[in-house]
Amino acid sequence: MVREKDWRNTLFDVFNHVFILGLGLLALAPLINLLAISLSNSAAAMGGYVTFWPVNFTFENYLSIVKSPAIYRAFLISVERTVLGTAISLFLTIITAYPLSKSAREFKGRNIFMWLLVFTLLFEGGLIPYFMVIRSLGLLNTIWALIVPGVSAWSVILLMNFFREVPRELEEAALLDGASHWQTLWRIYVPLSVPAIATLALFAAVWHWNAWFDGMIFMTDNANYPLQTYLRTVVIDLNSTTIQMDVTKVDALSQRALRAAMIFVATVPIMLIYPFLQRYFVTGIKLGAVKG
Amino acid sequence: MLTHKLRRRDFLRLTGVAGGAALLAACLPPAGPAEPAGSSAPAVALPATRNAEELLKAAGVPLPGSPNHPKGWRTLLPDVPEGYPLAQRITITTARPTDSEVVFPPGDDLDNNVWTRMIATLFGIQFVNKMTWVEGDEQAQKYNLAMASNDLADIMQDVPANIFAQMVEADMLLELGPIWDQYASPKWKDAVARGGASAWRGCTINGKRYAIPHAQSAGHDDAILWVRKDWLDRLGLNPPETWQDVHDVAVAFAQAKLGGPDTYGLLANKDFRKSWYGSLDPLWTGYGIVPNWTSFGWSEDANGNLRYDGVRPEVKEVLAILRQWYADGVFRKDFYAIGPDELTPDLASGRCGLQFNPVWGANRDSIQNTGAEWLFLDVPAGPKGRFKHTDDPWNNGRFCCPKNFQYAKEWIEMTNWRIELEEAVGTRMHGWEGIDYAINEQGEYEDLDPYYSFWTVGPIGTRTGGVIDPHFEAEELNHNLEAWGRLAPAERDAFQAAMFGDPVLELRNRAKAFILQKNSTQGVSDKFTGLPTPTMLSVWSDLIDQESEVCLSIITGQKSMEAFDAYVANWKANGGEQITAEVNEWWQKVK
Amino acid sequence: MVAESQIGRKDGEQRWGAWLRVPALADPKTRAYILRNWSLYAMLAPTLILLAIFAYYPMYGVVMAFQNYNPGLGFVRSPWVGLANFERLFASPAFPRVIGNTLIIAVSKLVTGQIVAIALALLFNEIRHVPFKRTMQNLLYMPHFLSWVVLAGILMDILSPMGLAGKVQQALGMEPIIFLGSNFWFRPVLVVTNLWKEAGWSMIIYLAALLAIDPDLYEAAAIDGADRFQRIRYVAIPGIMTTIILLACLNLGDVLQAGFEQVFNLYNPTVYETGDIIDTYVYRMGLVQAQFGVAAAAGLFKSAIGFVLIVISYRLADRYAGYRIF
Repeated sequence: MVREKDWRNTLFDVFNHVFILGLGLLALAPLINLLAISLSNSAAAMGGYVTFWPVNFTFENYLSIVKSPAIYRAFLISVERTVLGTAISLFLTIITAYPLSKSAREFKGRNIFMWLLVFTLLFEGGLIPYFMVIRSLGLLNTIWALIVPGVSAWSVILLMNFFREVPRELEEAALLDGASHWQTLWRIYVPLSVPAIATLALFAAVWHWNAWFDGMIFMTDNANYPLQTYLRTVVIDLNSTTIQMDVTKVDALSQRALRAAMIFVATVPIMLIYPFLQRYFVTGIKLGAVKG
Repeated sequence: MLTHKLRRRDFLRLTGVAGGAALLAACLPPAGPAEPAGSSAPAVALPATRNAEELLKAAGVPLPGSPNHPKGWRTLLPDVPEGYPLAQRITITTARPTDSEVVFPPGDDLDNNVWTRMIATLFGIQFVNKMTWVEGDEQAQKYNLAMASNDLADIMQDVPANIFAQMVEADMLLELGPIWDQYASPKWKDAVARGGASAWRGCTINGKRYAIPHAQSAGHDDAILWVRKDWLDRLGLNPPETWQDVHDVAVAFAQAKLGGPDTYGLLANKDFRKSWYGSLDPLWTGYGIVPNWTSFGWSEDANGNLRYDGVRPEVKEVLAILRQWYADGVFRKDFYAIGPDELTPDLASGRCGLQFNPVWGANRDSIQNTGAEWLFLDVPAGPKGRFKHTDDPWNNGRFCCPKNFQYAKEWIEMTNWRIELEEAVGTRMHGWEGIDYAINEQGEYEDLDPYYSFWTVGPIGTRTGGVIDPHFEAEELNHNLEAWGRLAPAERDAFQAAMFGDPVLELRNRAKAFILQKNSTQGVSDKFTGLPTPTMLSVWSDLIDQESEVCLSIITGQKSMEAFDAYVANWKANGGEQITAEVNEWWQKVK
Repeated sequence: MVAESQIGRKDGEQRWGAWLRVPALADPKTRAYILRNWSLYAMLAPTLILLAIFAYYPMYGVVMAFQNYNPGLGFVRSPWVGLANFERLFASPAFPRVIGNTLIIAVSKLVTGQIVAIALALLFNEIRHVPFKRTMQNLLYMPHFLSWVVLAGILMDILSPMGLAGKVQQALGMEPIIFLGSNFWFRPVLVVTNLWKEAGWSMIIYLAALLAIDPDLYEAAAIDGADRFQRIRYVAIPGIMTTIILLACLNLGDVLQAGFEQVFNLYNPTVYETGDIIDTYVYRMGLVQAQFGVAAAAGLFKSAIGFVLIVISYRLADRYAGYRIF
């Protein structure tokens, strides 16, 4: 790369670094604020005295969370759906993307299947009939209601495009050796597509972890809510104008610090897996970022 | 949500009773009857198998009460009705509100806890929860989906009115009225009969009763004026008596910044009509306007017709006052965007010195953390008199059942029994030791977090606190004040003694007694308690949105007073007149 | 391995023997094709079955848009009402409002999102210090991974006058603004919070495009005397022009996607006037107010328009950027 040393360049570099540093801090600031509130005692939080550093530092909010069976249960449900959901959706995505990555000549009917898949992106029947399907299969209030649809057309398209970049010679050699499609897929395609698959795993995991709407709809008993849905009832939906209030609820509402701690807990798993997966982003996303 | 938790019963059942003694002593009837020995147990001589205590003991199910503790008490369980426990255990599914913070002992849940085990043993009825919700939108959405997919629970609590109407139209509901007539106990029927026409209004469609009313205690959410006595003293002010005083005191509080830089005068939020936290309703009612929770109410005009109060010219008078107050700094600057639930920090951290609230105006955090001294006062009088909003205790919701539900009789008979246990003075039903309360080594009563009543199946109890007789709370309060007040401190059992300890509870108790006393003379209610009319279903929410928007904009000075006239004209043209006609059609039928 | 799979093939022939005697499959070419490729169909089967159950079967629900849906009667027996639901929808004063809000919010988000992402990518591309660049990239990507429930919880706190924003305004001596309760501020809040969450993430694709530019082009430009800004102007931007055009075309398909999750978690009745979008309207009509027909009609209307827009956007993407999705 070219490098020149004149003052305009240096000025630009300084400005650019400072500016981007500023943006990076801006992206982080709300989370730090949240963390600081969650580590402050409730009086300081309620008084609005906390900015980026805890005031009257305490772990009491996190201790309360650990002791709350409701949050604990919701957390476990979320973990379960994320692990199961990610595994199932990855498996389905891989075995769907492989046949579709063949040309229509190699795999007869491929274009019809492709359209069947893509049409689901463009059109859907609506929530009520979908709810009725889930109900009649007996999936309401089970973790499967949150997992079953399983495969996302976008992930399939991304992986399919990735598979198409695998050199043909490798596959042909394998087939000549007598390997089946199944073996080719797992011994050649999958190992060569690790970045894409890692990215898809991240997407699926994040999606499952963050999903709240399906929990609200398909869990008719709110003891089965996943964490984000539970969080929503605690953090956002307390705007209860007409419901009859009682002293319990009224006294509970002033817990700004505790709410902050709950929100923070809901972000922790994301923060934990993020560093492991971020190195695959750029390669994995090239083809898929359009609709990531 | 997990700390300094005060339970509803703090004032509903136990402490509501205590401090009011002094206040109420004068107006109390002479000593009530002594504790009735067997409650109102059936008069027939009974076979041993219908004795509830023996049944529970035989099944190894714990009894409520603490009969063996020296400072304990005995809960008087009525005998179970004839035919129970059922030879064949039945299962009934339920849909009801819950609360993610309701804590069960380990291993227990909503379907399996002390209360369900007692009912299963005594009645052979197993309740299985099918659907729960926490807040309003969730409730409507879940009933909606259940209806759309025709998958209803057996006992459905508080089905929203519009969904109830649609369920009836779709012929999905059981006509409960005749079954109730046949099996409800005389006591239940008396309570409903005292409710008059309004009791069945929300349950009746085309003359048929498809639901059983869900009553709540009268005066539960009535507001009184709370003021920081310590701030008044510091500024040398007198307690406010008129609306002008309220304004002046509020401005003085705000300017003196007694609670820090963010101090303001009077608690208010975007629910500017009636709110459960920081209400403005006494001002509206003082000017002859009936406010309600999400809209204004309907009142009767001189010709006996209903009119919508939100478009009457008096609204402008109140808006002008509120606009002036806002400009003078009486309210929090952003009150119009703040929900009631976001306001507790303002009290807790001592930012605000005046509030219209029920008993929770005695904010524990502010008292304990900021040294607040709260004084409660009667609401000021407006030009039309001294009034406040009150909820019609019968306009609280409904219980309904799907068409194919077979056990309505059993449910009603179980409730008959519960009335004798839980809505009878002197049965001493305070829950289970080790679950609801503990008695410590000093013989003191201690509240534990869970409360069985939250787990029950209505109409009594549940998370939203149903009752059969809306006036039972006042009756029990009067009785206990009288009967327990006469006991020497040493004679009181742990539960009775607990009512005379905590100053915050005592303050709340005094306030509760005061509120109940004023309820009948000052409370005004929305006269329209019917189901939404057809035009309401299609345009009401739009009209209400516009109403809120225009009123809040006028109060905050973003729009001129004239905007209100334009709104009224628009209201009339876009469905308001049609709705008025429909509401009056209903009114002619029920009044 | 060879031996193994040959045994496998033989087994396969025996297992499939019955099938292979069907006359249509007697053709040796077909037979070879099936023997070789039956597993491709088998791999697709689970997904196709799931799609049939969970995507295609529920599509019968569109009939609701043309019915006065009665839950007691179900889809089959509910009375048909023709286009009455659409008439009610179009006559409702709320409808033009939600269409307008949807378009305004979606377009503002798409336009600002793209411009900021491009600018960020160009700035990042000028940074040579790799660890710094990495760290900053990762910081900017992170908000993308937080849910709108979490973000709404954070934002409601920050934007309240007791929160961070209120403190900043106070420090600057300003009157506190109620961002989430103001019809003037609500849309800007949506746009800015969307940028905060997504801008870093959307920059990735431009960064990838910038990496793909041949370094020789920069060298050549430098030798020709182009300074840094000129190189951005004449090398970098033209180098990613195809990507820019491609994304602009694809964005066209999203102009009805104003972001249900974001709006739903942030709005309240005071800002319906500027913040209520088609998706939230459909939600309230269908799932809160039980106006099934109107909700289904609004949903179908959106799907139909959206379908056309997506088809157009892919046509344009194909024509101007040579992009085909599959």
